Amino acid sequence: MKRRTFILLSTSLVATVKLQPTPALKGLSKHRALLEALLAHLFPPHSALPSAKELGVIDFFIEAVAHPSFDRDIRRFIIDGTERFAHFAPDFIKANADAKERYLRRFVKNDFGDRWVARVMIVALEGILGDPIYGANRGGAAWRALHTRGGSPRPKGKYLEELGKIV
Amino acid sequence: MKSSEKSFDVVIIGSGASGGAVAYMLTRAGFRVALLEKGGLVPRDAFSKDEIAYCRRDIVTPSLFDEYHVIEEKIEGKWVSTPTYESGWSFWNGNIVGGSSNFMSGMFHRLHPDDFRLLSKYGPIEGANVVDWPITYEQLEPYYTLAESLVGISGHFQPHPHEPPRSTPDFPQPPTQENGIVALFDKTCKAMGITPLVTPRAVLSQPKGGREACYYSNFCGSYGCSSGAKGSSREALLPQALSTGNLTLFTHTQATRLFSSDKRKIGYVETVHTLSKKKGRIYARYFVVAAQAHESVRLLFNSADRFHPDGIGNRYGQLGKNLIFSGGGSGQGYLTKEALKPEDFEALMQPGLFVNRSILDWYFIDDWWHGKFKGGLVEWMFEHQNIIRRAAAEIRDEHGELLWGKALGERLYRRFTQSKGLRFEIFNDWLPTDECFVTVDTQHRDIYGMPVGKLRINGHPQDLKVGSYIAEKCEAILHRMGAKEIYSSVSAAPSQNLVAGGCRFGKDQKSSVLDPYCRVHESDNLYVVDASFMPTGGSVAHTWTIYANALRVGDYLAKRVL
Repeated sequence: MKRRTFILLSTSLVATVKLQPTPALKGLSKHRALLEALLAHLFPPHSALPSAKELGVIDFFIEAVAHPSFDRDIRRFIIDGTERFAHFAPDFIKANADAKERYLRRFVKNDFGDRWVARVMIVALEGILGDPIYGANRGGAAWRALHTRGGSPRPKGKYLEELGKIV
Repeated sequence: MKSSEKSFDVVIIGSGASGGAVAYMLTRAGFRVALLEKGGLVPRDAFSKDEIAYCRRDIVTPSLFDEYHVIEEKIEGKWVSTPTYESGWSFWNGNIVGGSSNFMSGMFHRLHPDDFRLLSKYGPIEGANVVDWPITYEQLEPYYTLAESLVGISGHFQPHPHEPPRSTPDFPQPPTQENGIVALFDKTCKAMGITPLVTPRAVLSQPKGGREACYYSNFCGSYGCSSGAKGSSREALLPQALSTGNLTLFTHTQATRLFSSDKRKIGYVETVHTLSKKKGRIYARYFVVAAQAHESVRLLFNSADRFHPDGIGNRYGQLGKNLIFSGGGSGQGYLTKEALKPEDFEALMQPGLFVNRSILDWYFIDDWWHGKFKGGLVEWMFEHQNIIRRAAAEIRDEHGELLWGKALGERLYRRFTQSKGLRFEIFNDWLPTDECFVTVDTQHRDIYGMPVGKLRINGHPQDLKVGSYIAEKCEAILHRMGAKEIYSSVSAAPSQNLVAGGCRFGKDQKSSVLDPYCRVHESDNLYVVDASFMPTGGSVAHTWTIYANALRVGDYLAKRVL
């Protein structure tokens, strides 16, 4: 699968918003409220998993995507998709749960939207089910919810940063 | 020579299984060795089970935007080149001291004696460059045994028609502990007339030297080992080599070119420090390349000079040819709460303990319908326990539609608490062909300005035939065990962590790159010892053979050359 080729193709074929290059953090922070609402809808309360809001997944999400170790093309894809989603669903933040669901189901009808939401979910799952040191899986709450646990020993820092630059 | 330039008896390029084994033999024999590793040294107690860092980011491998390969695949009848920064398909396998041996699962098997004489035994196969090896199993056997002892391979020898003969009665350590569900697997196999064997593991079941026994972390493959139980080069060989005082380890040091001092000798290796980008030279009497098959070939191509205009070792156009991987495929089924007895389910869900079963029954196949042909090995294990990966695989329903909200939560809860995947991996020969090789791509250069390796990848139809034959047998076992959602996948896509060939060894310099002791035919002081020497790959993971052969070459260099 030509992942990056796909991303570029879908950008040129489906694009509705022309993006200027933006620093990663700025591009994400600008839509923090939208992403937070989206994550809250994807990972709601009263589910088998702790909710995104309860875990503070938004902080992990922005930090993870902006981190230098994150694939730069996927970062661009996420930022690009966020811009498009903001354009597609301008009142998403204030919409009720049913309206949010309708927006999302319509957005994933095309290939780009489907892949963007999938990518957002996977990054969120990294936070929810990753080591608690990354901040989102607070106290291992999500591991407990699934009756599982991460490996031992646990990391002493994020992204092996405690070791300095390894490679 | 400038003060920053250094001189040694031997320079070894690469600190993985083969580089570590040669370093071990030479330093203990008293020779001064420089060991070059492009990555850093991660101490044992720094290895954690951080899925994000080790499995979801390029942290222990180079960024594909800095260093990459170009992969050529046949798509709709045409060869299409794709840089791996485009595809995300990394052919790096762990670039830290100890190389990819840090991250292996350590399921170890020897080649069978017939793997050394495949052409004589089975005859030619159309479209495949099958040859006999220039050495026999009997010549390598003492070094398999030495590797077994040094690495610390645990297991239990059970006689089987397809098990190679041994010079010692059993493994130096008893097997690692097994999950209780293995009893059901064994019972099922035996009822089907299949013989399950204990998988030898390069994982200590008992302490050895300064290494602790396995503590059953539940996360082994893809992670470094924090007890030292896994028999990586970094744990099993390099500490002893360093303790001699004869080994100088150069971390963050990438070899970019070998420089010839005359037609038959290498004089020095040019290096670049991967952090400071500072260049250097290291001189030696002998040079040993152990950079992993495709990267070793790349180094020899990139070292072309007036003596070797087409690359070192390429006088007869053999360099990079006959690249091989491990053929086969994999499959899985879910053992579920509803299908198992309560006590079996309880045993199944115990974390950490291994399955540790192999099937050798189909290593050589004599089928009334399909005929006689070389088959392969099957390894059985639990699906990898990585939590994020397992969850990410569940975000789509059976129709491919995205699931979120409570529906996703319930699906994940069921998957994690009501079932566990039992997996099989098939290893069969990836037959060498004219359409699978390594060159360099001068249009693409890495951040150090060197042309990147270009891999043309093409499998032989026989590889798929063998894999499919065995996958069908394995699926039948899962069905009989009552597993659900059974599937298998046998494809021509290579396993990029099991790459070999490209510097074939042989007696005839017109059809091989290396002599039987892995010396480049046209050089007096250059050896290549990683898996690139292999003319055929056998039907097991290559690592034990890589260790054994490198110990053999190291022994030869120490006793008869240096």
